[in-house]
Amino acid sequence: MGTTQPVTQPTERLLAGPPLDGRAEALHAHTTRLGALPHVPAVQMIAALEATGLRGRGGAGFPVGRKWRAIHDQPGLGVPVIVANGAEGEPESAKDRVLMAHRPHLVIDGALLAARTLGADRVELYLGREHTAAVRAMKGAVEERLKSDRKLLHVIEAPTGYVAGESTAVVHYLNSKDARPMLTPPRMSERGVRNRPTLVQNVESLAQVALIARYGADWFRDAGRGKDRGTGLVTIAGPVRHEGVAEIELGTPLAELVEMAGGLTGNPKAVLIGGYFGTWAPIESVWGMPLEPESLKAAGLTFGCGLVRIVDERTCGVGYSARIMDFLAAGSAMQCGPCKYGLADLAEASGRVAGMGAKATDLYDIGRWTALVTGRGACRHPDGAAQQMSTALAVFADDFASHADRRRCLAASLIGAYR
Amino acid sequence: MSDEHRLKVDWIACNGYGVCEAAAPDLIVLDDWGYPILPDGSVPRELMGQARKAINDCPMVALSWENRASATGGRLGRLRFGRRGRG
Ligand SMILES: Cc1cc2nc3c(=O)[nH]c(=O)nc-3n(C[C@H](O)[C@H](O)[C@H](O)COP(=O)(O)O)c2cc1C
Ligand code: SF4
Ligand code: SF4
Repeated sequence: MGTTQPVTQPTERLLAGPPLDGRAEALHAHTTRLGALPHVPAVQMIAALEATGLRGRGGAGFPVGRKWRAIHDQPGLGVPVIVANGAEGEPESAKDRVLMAHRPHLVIDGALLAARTLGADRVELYLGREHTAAVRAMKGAVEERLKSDRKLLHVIEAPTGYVAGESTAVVHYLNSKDARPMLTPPRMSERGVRNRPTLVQNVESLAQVALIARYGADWFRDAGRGKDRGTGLVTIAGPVRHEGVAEIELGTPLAELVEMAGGLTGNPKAVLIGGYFGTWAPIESVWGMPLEPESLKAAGLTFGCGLVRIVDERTCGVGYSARIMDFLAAGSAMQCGPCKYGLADLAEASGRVAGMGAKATDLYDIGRWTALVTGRGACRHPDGAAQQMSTALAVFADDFASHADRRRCLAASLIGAYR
Repeated sequence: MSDEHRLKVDWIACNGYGVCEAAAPDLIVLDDWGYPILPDGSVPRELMGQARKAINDCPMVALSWENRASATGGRLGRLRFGRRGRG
């Protein structure tokens, strides 16, 4: 949503190097700047990843080292396949596409390290086809690689859609061109793409691995202010001077990120953290909040894919969350009843409330249905959608009540535009 | 495993026919859209009969035991269960 403008900052690791001007860093520049990709023995690589505590950056936050070890420690199930997940279906997040468009070789280095460490003979670069600059950069970067590496690397243009980046949907698409999630067990670490052990890893996670292989776990942990260490890519959107992607030291307070983005241009009211699957919080409760998975989790929030969407006092939180609900309902793969019908009903009810046409039961039903759809699908799409909605209901409680009962929008009244 | 007996639904297979509710009225209720809401924890001993009936009656073979079911979910769960049931 027009937030692809990168924001440059001092704590840069992944985004260090040439300016982020839309051009991909070429292979020779990449290796001149960072040195060639080192050969790290598998055992050492996995131990280093475990020592970093690096968590996956695709949204779920699963420890990367543990995922690699699971595949490494179970030989005999076939030659593994590596999937670099660059679907980035989250509409307001731009960090993966900015990374791929400017530093494609970091992502490819990470994917090749995974292949070498786990003995894989195939790397699928699964890229959201709507991210054209990223796709172009990644394809160009593959062409620059040695023939022996090119043989491993396969660019797959992923279909557009929110669930197309979900890991079982990724595997399903690679196997049968159907990007709908499927039931998981047998685990994909055992049987995934082509029935082989499969590692699906977000592109930022892989880029982090490329630096860890070069500089080690201690270096990685040098950055960071909280329990989760290192740096992370975030997308900041809303009333700030420079919306876009920034690299922060994990644990950087929200207030500081806003400063990095050039400061506020409006009066903020609330923040959606972690993506459309994320959690809303009132601005005053999170202004000093360290942006880091552990701290956020302790506060009942989520780091997710690193989206920080601020809304100002003139933005209707009811309308905003209803539009997200509508988007997520349309994004359901329509396979599971509670997801298909529940999200549609949630979208309709919240849309009615936002549009001043609430039925008497709508607020009550929204609360009930968010609980009812949670945990009742083949993937976690309904869970995420419900989390966004239920936290909006809490954070914008007055606005929801005012819309439903008095048919009046508190945000609109601030700008004198009564509806 | 333990003596835990948890039911699970294959949400992709389940079509919301609600046959399971009729088979296990003390165990399963249907949600607003006709899909089953399963008990949170283990099925109590006295309701095991109802649970078995629900598994066997489900036309989509969408219900199974959580710890015994496999990838094919319902179907294997049902076959295995059928054998157990007779034996
Ligand atoms: C509905 C849904 C959509 C997702 N979309 C993406 C995506 O676009 N990109 C991504 O990297 N992970 C996405 N994920 C998370 C993946 O399932 C998976 O956890 C991730 O790719 C694993 O990589 P990581 O451990 O490095 O984060 C999504 C998850 C869900 C439930
Ligand atoms: S829960 Fe929703 S998005 Fe996930 S597989 Fe089922 S229908 Fe598709
Ligand atoms: S009987 Fe089977 S298909 Fe029908 S609602 Fe119950 S679980 Fe779903």
